[in-house]
Amino acid sequence: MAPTKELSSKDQAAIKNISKLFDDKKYKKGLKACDAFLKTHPDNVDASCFKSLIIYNMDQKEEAHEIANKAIKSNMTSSIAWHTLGFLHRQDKNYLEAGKAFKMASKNNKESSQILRDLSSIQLYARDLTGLKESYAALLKLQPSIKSHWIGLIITYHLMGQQKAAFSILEKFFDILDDKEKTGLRYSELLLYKCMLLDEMQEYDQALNILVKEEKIILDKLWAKQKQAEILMKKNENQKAETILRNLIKLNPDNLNVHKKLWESKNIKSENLENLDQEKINLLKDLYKDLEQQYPKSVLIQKIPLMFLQDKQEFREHLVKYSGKFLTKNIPSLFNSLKCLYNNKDKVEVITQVFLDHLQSLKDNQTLSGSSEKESPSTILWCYYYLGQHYDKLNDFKESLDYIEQGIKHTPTCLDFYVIKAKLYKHQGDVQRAFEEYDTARKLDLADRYLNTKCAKYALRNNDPDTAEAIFSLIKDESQTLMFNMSEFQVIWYENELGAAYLRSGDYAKALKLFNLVEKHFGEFLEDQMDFHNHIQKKLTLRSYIEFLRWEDVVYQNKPYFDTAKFAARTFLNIQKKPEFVLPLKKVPAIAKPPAPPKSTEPKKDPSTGLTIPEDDDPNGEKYLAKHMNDLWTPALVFVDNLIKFAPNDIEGHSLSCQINLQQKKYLVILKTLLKIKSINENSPLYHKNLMELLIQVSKDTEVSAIVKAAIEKQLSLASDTNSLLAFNQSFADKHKDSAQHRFVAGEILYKLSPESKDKALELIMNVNGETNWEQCVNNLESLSTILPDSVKQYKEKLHSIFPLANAFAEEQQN
Amino acid sequence: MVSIRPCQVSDLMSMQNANLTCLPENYQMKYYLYHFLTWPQLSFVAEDDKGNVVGYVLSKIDEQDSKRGHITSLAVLRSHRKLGIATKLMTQAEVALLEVFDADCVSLHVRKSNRAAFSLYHDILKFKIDEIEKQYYGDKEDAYSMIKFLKEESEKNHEKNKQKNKDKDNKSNETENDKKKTEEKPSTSTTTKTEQPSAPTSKPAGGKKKGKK
Repeated sequence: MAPTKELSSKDQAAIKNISKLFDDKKYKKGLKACDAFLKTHPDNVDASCFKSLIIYNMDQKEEAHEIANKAIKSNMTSSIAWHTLGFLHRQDKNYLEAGKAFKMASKNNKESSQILRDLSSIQLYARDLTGLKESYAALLKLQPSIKSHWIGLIITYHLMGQQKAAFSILEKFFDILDDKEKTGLRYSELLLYKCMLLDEMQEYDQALNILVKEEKIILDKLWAKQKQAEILMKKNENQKAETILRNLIKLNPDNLNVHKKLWESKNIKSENLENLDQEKINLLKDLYKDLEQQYPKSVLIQKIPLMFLQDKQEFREHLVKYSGKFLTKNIPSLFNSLKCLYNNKDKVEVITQVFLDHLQSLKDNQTLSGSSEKESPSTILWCYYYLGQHYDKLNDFKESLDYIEQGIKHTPTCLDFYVIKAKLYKHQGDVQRAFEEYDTARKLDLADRYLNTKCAKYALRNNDPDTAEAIFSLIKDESQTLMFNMSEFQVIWYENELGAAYLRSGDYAKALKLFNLVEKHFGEFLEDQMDFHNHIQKKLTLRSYIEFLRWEDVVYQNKPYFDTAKFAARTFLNIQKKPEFVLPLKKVPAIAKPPAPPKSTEPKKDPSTGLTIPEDDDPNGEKYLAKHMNDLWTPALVFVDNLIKFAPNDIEGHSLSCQINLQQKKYLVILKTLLKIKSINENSPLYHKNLMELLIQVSKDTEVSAIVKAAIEKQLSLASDTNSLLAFNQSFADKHKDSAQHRFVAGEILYKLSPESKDKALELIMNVNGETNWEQCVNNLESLSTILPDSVKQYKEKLHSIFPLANAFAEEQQN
Repeated sequence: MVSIRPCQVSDLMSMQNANLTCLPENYQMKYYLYHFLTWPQLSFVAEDDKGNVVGYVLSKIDEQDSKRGHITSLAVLRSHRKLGIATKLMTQAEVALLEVFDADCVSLHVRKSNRAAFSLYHDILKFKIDEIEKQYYGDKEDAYSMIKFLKEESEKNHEKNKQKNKDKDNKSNETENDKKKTEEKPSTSTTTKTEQPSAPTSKPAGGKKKGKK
């Protein structure tokens, strides 16, 4: 900030001095100087702004805002004052307000490039692309030689989907580069970015032209060649593409994407790979025979024929060979690599036979099936290992456990068997035993971080956060608390699993604390966007930059977030519904917690920045929950709205949205959501449940307008009087009489509609025959406990008889 | 089946998760983004049929020496060992370092106690111990700084320079202990500055810290 002109040279020097003190972070001295100056010049904007910034950095945030606002009030057109207010908001992460303030600052000082830069980074964050375009255009006018402004404008047009405009500015940008800049990696990156744009503009010839003509200058050849092949295929020049793709396979035979393109060049879509006609199969057979000879080390090339071969004998022969290699080399991931074949019954049959043959042959002659070579004694071990997982996949617990036990008997120290054993028990719902088995595996190699991490996860699934923490403390930086490490390194899986354990146990405050932490990380990922612009203009990696910004647009589309959002929504609903059925946390940790580090009176410092870590004033989430008790649905909807926006085909997400909106009587929103669920799968039990619950509530709600009611009935083609609903529910139950989950929903709805039909409702609910799983049934129990709490015990006993190993349905929770 | 391919931005979150699962040296998402945005050609992932990241290599160019590549992190899930994934990932990274950046060599750090990783780098990937960095890790463990030359002539030059430096050191008796590597150390600052407020970090690098196994 330049000192204001009217000041005397002495005063100007004083302001300069303040500025320097501020830059050197000598806040106490700076504040003194400000106060002294303001005594004689109470209305001086510069000094007021510095004072505001200084005390903000001294943690007096509210006061800082007051001073900045006062400075604006006394001089509404002071860009410095607005700029200062913008900083404060930005530091508070209140980006909306920061953007507004920077905009006012810019309006009052159109010549300041600094203000425009600050404004643009907020506009990018907020995806105010129109505003961003204006800011970069203004910057370019002010400083036409500064490259980052050019880049900014190009990227902005690209993000707006105006590739043509982006391209024409890129062309002009090339013109201002001098010859020295037209070499090296940065130039190569620019050329490739140009290709990316041209490809998106469907200007394939121009893009190809660059890729061919500039081949020598282009350094990222892997990307360039792949792009070239893609474009050639878009132009139906498949043969040329194939040559390039084969060269790419030479560089890396294990890239599945390149193989997929290669199939495509032969008019084979990868999603049809398992259902090809004989002609295509023969074509691929020849191709992969050839490739296998050229690249004998590529596991991928050996695997692909297992996908497309259909003839049982041929499949068998190939599988014998493929599996033999894995078994001989004792590679543990064999099952993982064949898992994708299990939706084909014929193939499963062959797989079963092949491995049983291997086993028999190993037992009889110590050779693999169809081979005469003697195997080492460990080969049979990995055959047991496979069969254990195989039968687990086929849901044959007894058989799978039997093979795993044989393996353990053979080599008790092979920890991989305990890992699988833990999985088997987990699938049966015995989360306690699953943890114990995993812990056995972990203890066989305490230095293995992977085992420790996974074991902590098993402890959390077993509702035992203390044990999880004890294990985790073995692998984290011990100078900090667990929560600090979780938060610092964005350990989302742990936060989700820990939060889920609290949710199951009914500790909703703590659960929300964790889910909010995940939400915070996604906020951090979004904020990361604001820091890279300057960096990019130095590196000119514009391809990556665009991909990064597009990824940010859909950052919530990542699976961990979906889990978090669902957990959080269920937590908010449970706070309202108060289910009686909960799974309490383990009281005694399975592993003794290490002694807490001695409490020091010194405030903790962040080792990376040296800044003081503020104490968490709400470690158990109680304050947060208390604050939101009167309005649970606003924060709940933040999660759910992201969920349905970014997972539009996830029925569970839509269902949660219905339930939350039902609490708020937003019937038309629910109607819209229901129609969406219907379009995904109208036979889903969740569709029926939400449909019926909406109509039941609408029929009871005396305040609902006739128009809304009529609209809902019309759209859903269903009257909301009890008799119609009962009939509809009955026909639903009849239609899906073989499905346990459908019957459960029908039973619940029946009871809601007509409590006098309780016996009939229970009949539906207690019939658990048919396909279901224990986890679904835990959710059912929770739901039942809010509707028919008296029947929980009976339902639980029923479930116990179906899932005898599942801890959730056992008589007494072991602790 | 496992596919080995160049890393995309959508892989980074899974990479971070794989790193947290397998290794004691962890980084914030921003550090992964920094790699992706600076050296998009240098990182690779291994993914299984379901698209889960089961291994990755995260690499970069030394900020002080543009001809020196550096492996920031390499991990393969235990469940996918023995498939040669680490070797394949490293091969891809080395080719990219040479082809895109014309790098002379590639270096990495490994804990002295981590025999499995050491033998992978030493016996299979042919890295050599360049020096021992005392108390390199957060828990004070020493690191082997290992190096592999991507061109023949650079190895000779490196040996010569090293010898020269040694002679110089011996003569002037200067220790260069404070030349400690800073490249992977955290550098985030959150202070407000008036003059250049838009750039709290000109080189964005997420905090990194070294923990204990």
